[in-house]
Amino acid sequence: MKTEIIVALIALTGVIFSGGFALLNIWIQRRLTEVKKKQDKNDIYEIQNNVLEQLIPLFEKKDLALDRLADILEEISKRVEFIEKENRQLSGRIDQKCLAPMLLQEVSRIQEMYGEKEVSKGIIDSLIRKDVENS
Amino acid sequence: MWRILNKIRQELEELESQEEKRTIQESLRKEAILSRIKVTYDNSTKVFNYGVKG
Repeated sequence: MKTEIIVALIALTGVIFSGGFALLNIWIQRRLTEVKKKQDKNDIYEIQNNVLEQLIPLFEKKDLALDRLADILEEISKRVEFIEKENRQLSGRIDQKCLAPMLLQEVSRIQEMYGEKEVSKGIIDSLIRKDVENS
Repeated sequence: MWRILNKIRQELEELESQEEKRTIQESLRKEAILSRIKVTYDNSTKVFNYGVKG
């Protein structure tokens, strides 16, 4: 009977110890899993930060390039404006030059018309002037 | 026995505190990086534009 009690006690102690160790193991595993999760989260965090840090110089370069492009566009628009102004002036001159032959024709027509009747040059001049003013 | 258990507990706490410090460091680093980046949203093209402040 005594031996049986001793054996039973030893068995109980064994069960208690193994149960205790199992619980301890679960506790350690849980803590380790938590630490691992934190480690993974921090690793991802670190990678994200590294990528962002590498992007900053690229953003700086992009900003500089955009500023340069804006300068170039401004310069181009200024030149276009200047060329348009020049074109307007030039087309005005061309218009005047194109009118000249017509005026000359008109003058010669008037001269022919009035020349025969010996009309004074003053009348022709005034007609020419009128024509020019109208044009 | 208790010494071993204590050692395990200490190691775990050390690891955890290291990771917590790293979390703080990385979040501070992220704040610093984001403070330099300027993000704007273009409504017409529906695109985010990234640039640098200043």
